[in-house]
Amino acid sequence: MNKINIARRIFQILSLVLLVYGGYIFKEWKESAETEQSIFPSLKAPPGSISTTKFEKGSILWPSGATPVIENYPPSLVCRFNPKGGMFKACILHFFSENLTWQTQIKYLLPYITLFILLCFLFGRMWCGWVCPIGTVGDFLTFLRRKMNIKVRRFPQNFRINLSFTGYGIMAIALTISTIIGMPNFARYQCYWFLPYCQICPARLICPMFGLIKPNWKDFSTGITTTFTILAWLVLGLFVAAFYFGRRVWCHMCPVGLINSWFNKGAGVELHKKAIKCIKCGYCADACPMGLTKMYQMNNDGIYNQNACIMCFRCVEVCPRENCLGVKFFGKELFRRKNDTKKVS
Amino acid sequence: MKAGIDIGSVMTKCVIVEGNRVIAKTISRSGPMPEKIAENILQQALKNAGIEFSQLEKIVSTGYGRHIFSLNHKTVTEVSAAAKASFYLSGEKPCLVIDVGGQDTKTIEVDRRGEVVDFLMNDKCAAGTGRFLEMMATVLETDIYGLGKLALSATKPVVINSTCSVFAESEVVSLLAHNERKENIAAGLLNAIAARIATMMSHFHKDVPVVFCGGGANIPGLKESIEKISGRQIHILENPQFVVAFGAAIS
Amino acid sequence: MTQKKFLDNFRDEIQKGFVSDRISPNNIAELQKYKRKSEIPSMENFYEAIENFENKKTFELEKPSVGYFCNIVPEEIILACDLHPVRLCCEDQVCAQAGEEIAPGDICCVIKSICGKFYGRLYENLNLVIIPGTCDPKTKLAELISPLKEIYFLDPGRDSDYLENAAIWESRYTELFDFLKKRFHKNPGRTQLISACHKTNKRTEIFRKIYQLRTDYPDSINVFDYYIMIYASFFMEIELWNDFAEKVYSQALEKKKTQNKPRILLVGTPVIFPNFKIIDVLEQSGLAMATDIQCTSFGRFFNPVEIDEDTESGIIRALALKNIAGSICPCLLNLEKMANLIIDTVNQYNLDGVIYYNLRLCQVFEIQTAILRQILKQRNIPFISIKTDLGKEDTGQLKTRLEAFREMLESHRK
Ligand code: SF4
Ligand code: SF4
Ligand code: SF4
Ligand code: SF4
Ligand code: SF4
Repeated sequence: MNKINIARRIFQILSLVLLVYGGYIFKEWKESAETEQSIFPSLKAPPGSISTTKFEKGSILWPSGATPVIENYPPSLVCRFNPKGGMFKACILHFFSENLTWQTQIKYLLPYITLFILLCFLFGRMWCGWVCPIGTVGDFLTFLRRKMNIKVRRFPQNFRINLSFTGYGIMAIALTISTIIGMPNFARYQCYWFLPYCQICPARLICPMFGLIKPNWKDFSTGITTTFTILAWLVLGLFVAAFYFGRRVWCHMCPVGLINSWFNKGAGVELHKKAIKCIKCGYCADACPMGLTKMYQMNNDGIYNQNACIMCFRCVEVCPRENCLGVKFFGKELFRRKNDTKKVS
Repeated sequence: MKAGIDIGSVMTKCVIVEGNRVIAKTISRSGPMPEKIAENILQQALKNAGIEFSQLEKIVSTGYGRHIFSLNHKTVTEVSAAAKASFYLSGEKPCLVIDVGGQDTKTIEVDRRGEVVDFLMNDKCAAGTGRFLEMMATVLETDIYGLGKLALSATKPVVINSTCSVFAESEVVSLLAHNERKENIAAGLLNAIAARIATMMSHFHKDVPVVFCGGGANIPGLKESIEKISGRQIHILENPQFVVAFGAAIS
Repeated sequence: MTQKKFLDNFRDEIQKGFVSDRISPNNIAELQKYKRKSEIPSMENFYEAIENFENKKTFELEKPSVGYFCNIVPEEIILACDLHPVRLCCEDQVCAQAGEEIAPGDICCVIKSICGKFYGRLYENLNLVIIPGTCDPKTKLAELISPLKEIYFLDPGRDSDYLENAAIWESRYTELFDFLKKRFHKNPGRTQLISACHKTNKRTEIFRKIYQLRTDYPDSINVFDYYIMIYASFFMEIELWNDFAEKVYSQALEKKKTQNKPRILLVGTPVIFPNFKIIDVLEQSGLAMATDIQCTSFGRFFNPVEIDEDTESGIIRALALKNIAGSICPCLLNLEKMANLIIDTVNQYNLDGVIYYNLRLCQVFEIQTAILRQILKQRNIPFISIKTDLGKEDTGQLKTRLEAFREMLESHRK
């Protein structure tokens, strides 16, 4: 095993613990009366927004959480359906969805957005590779598959990258719905259509289980909730299959990852290549969990941050050539293979 | 005073210089006892120059036999010697040296500091060397200079494809059998060699003057033939056969 | 591809038709010559191993042995099946002369030597020979020696592009793996594959240390010792080789001495004992071979197997990447890689010049000479190409050329 990979695994697990159980660690958890309220407990609509959302306990979107430790939205899939309150409020898609519905004034949103963009600019999609608990869960599925000696399904790079259109499609639909139900005329639909993506998001079903809490598996009360329930199952199935048979295929469609990916080019973390060192062995492309081949293909020196790259640096560490690939942080060399002789897995 | 001895595969040459001026030069055919011959011609050169052996400050040997000559102080390779001499003789300017010797043909690129930048030499076999022409001359019942002279009066040079001596020989024989004029055959042979040299030249810089040395430069018509094929002006250094020995003496 | 039988009906005719039966090349004297030059006590082990190998003319091991050529054939898969891999590449004049009978004419001396060895019955104990379709003569070689031996023909194609071919390579290797399992009644799985990879990776690790040391101090392990080690790895048990090489390395560490000879990168056809002519001349001309880019040494040892997917198919794929995509064999489409590698090695280790060594009639090496020459020339890297064969008669001429090259490098240094 290689050092970076080990470091990444450790970091992933620590992040998972922190982000999922942060509520337990940093806050004394009380079964406050708040949770019994039938509206969203932690997410009070900010001043200047209209909210008429009411949820019955037991509905699909009934959150099992409480107020988070940090009132913010990180650039990775950190879910608000964590057991008893997570570290952060929710994921960024949740943020957009709810505030579109609530028609929150922009000035209240600015601090959140600024912080989000800042975090993205600093580390790019490292959030996906190193932090996201859902990615970690997925990687665990991949780990299981490897232990069972099942051959990985490989998808061509183009297929993978085109999967992002699916993600964008879902995102567009979710945000449109959120906007529409925010209009006064349609406000009565909010109880069914609020946070449409959350309703089908696999994280909503997976995260509660970390706290040994039964997620809201199903809601067959109306036609709409039934549809959402079934959709959620399908997406969960897709998620598991994508991670079990392929590697991080899901992450090409995850809307949160996609939002994050806009900031990958130009991020503080830079992946770069010294082309003359390359012997075209293909190790980098073969090991890339996102199935990207750019590091292999490039014949010129340069910085090759790609939207789909989750900055796991697996390519850097498998490269057998000293100094060929490297990672910079704002122009400062962070990591590069230094000593040829040590490089044996 | 310094002496340079070039013990080649066909000829052994000796040059004695004072400063950079040649004061004596001798030449003799190389034989089975190269060291003996080298000593002889060194003695002879000393006699011609009218000096004593002890007056020589330095003896430098070069050529294939450079290591077997025991009186030397130093050895250099033909390549460096030819480069050195050509650089000096062509007025300390960068040049491309063609050296056609008995056993091999070299092209050497010399930069403006008089250093070898790159050189090419023929491989193992005799294809394209002086030896090849000598063998062909025998087939045409003349010697190597006669072959050159014949070539000068060629009307329509034949095309000889092979520079491998064995194949070329049979090609020549069959041409003779077909009553081809010897002149045309001779010119064809020169062209074949010239083409090889031109190919070698094409690996180097295109805009430096070309100088020609080695025994091959004495062959009438070879220079013109190379000029025609390569399209470049070639300047034959004076006393081409002694250029390498001279280079050894001054290095 | 599966096991092949060629010329089955003509077996008798072929076996009777050739007279060069039972040849006995003797290279012990040659070996002793190089042994005397060695300054590292533990090199003894390797010389001894080669001596035993040459004396017995064959190898007797408990395990069945599988012969193979080229880096394209995955040693690790053979090891995983608990077989003994023997690399058969050889450049031996006596064998080559005998081989003339089977493969006469303008064929490279490697093929001739191999034919000589097979028809001279030196490889009686081999159970199987895996022949890759790297170059054309190798491909035909499969047919030539088929009457004598069981052949497995492995053709990975000539394109070294990972993207297009990885799946093909993987399936070729899997076929080979399955065949070996069936043929030798073994049942290796993932664990065996991984442990085989660990063995070769260990070798890579040691080789890299030696490589690094030699680039800094070319005389710490002299060039003959270096190639003797490489040659020994052809037939030695890999763990044994690792142990011995580790010892050599630790003893060589004490021999660091700086020297002033121009440091050379030797590129081209592999140097295989007993054909040490080129390095002999190199040594005599006062050049120091600091490092090489050749398939039997650098190409074979330098890259580790990088196991990412540790499933069976994943490991096989990793082997394919190491052995084919990362290969420097000129039979594949990888000239750009070669040029990059040469330039990079020269720059990284501050080498003085490049010698491109070409065994006569190896077309794939020869064909790229002029282009490499031009590329390197534009970058002011001194380059000389040497074309020669097994015969010793051109030693003088080679020496002139290499000495002239040395003089040229020395004048550049000033
Ligand atoms: S359910 Fe999905 S979309 Fe909703 S907050 Fe959790 S992670 Fe974000
Ligand atoms: S793309 Fe993958 S790793 Fe990134 S946020 Fe989405 S699920 Fe997590
Ligand atoms: S390109 Fe490299 S850093 Fe990016 S996802 Fe692939 S392996 Fe990881
Ligand atoms: S792993 Fe390194 S050497 Fe191999 S193809 Fe990728 S960048 Fe090139
Ligand atoms: S260079 Fe290629 S064909 Fe030649 S021995 Fe090496 S791997 Fe085989």
